[in-house]
Amino acid sequence: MIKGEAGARISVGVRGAGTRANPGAGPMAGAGTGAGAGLGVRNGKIPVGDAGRDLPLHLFLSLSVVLTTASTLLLDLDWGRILDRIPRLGSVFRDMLRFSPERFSLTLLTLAETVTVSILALIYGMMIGLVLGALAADNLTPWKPLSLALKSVFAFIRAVPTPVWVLLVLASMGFGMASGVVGLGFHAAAFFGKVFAQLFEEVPEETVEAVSSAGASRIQIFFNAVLPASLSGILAWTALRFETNYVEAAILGMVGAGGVGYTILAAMSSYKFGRAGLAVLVVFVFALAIELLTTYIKRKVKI
Amino acid sequence: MPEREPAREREAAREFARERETALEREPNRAPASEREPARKREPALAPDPAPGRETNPAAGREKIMLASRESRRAALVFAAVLLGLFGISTAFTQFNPLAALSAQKEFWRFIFVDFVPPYMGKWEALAGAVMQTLYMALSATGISAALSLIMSFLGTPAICPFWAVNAAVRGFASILRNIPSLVWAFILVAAFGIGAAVGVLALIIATVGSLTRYFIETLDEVAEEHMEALRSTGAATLPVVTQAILPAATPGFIAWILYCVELNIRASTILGMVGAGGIGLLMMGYIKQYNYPAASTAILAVAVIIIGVNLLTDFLRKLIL
Repeated sequence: MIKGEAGARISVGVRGAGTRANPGAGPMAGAGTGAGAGLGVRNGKIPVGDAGRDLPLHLFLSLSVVLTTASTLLLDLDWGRILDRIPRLGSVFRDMLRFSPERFSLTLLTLAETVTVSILALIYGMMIGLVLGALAADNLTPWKPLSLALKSVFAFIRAVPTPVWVLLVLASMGFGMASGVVGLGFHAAAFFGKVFAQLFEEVPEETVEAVSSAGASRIQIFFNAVLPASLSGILAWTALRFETNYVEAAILGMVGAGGVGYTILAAMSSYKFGRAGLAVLVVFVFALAIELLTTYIKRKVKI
Repeated sequence: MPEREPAREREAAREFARERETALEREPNRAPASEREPARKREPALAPDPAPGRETNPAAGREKIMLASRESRRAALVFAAVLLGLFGISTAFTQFNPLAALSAQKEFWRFIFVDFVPPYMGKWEALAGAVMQTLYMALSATGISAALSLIMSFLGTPAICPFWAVNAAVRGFASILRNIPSLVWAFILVAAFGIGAAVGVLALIIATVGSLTRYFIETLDEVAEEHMEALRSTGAATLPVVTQAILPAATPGFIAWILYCVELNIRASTILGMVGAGGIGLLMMGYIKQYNYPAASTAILAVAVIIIGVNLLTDFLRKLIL
């Protein structure tokens, strides 16, 4: 690419004003004029790059290299220590792969907790999200400032990581799965509110107009025009959110809300690596199953 | 709050909307929703076109115009039935009572609006330092993973690497990396390396390489499908096709995914911080554990600000570059 770009720049220089006046058509202009005179073609190659067009791209790429290097250096990690301990990582993996069936039923039970918590949070979040999404969508909202306010609240709730919300709920509801459902559902509701509002807004205006001109009320518009038109989107988002919810629910145990995350944490911190390894395997298999399921759904339901 | 703030969901949605070819190449300027409507209207399932979906409903004695096609209605029914079933099973298993949650909500709001207010603004140097560390972790991990994923995705796509076994191995490896939550990776790494920012960065890299490799392979596959045959028919060898056609065409897709991962990693590094990987998450968790809620609320606000800020920035970059 860089070679091509240099070629284009040179051909611009040689060919003069005619090409320079039209940088947007870079490669074509260079090739067209060059092929005729045998000048724009450099080393028998037709220049394919265009410096002007690619500038933001190249700036971005070099900026990201600089940023990555700078942040890695600024983090000031002790790379020597990390390299020293890589053999220890190997032995941890080896220990974890020696699966031990000890208290496997507990692992399965906590996995079931994690899965059910994520399902309940998904469903409650979706129901709340549908209502709030309808209130927040520009074309459905009964009052514009309400839409703006709701969207801001959604953005804030989603910006605060789920474990924080779960911690707050834990403090007010006590430990247990209910806190997981509420904390996770809270986040999911904001997520669904935002994406559903966007889906509803993408429903063609004509569809809404056709139904409303027939005398439908706002609620009838929602159920007869907007909802059917955004069905496939709702389905796809729900499937996607299920993946996220499962991961988040698996994580929640680590901040103290139970579930399979807690089993892994407890086993790891008491050096029962074999038990932890089996639990991680179970988490992985289930995550893989969900991934395959959502891939299947999105292939089946074309958005 | 700006309306199109969170670009990560839009990215993810794009992943779903696969049938719309290489979306990035086709719509370089990420048209806002309103401008994309014409594309949607063409789809039969969504179109307000009465002809194909017309059904008569003799029971009601009137004609009803169906807005959704029969298949998508059936899909919705199946979907609703499955959800209902899962809901029943899960409720029975967890004994979750929404009314109990409703009765506890007063405590929750009191907690948020009384204990956490006003945010304590002192010690802002510690806060700024922690925020910067979180940003460094996310950026460093994303950059390193992008480089690693690029190499892995070359090995993982049949368009570039013709060995079936290598493709399968790379894809399987990436799948293992991404389907184990990053926090679980962090705990495994802590067992070997001890607590610290290094664990956070490594856990982020592992999870990001897993997902970025998948996204990169998908992008490459889509691009290759479009360009490969046309270019091969001109007699071009594999290497020039890759460097001159596939890579340039895939670059916007790569960048979109990298930006998406920056957003994800900022979030994830905060969460990793909560279990000891440093940064703003660690600071926030410390305040919560000390019941220092006003200081914790400052940290939470800082998290919200960086996440929203980074989302806005990546949205801007997306518009600028793609």
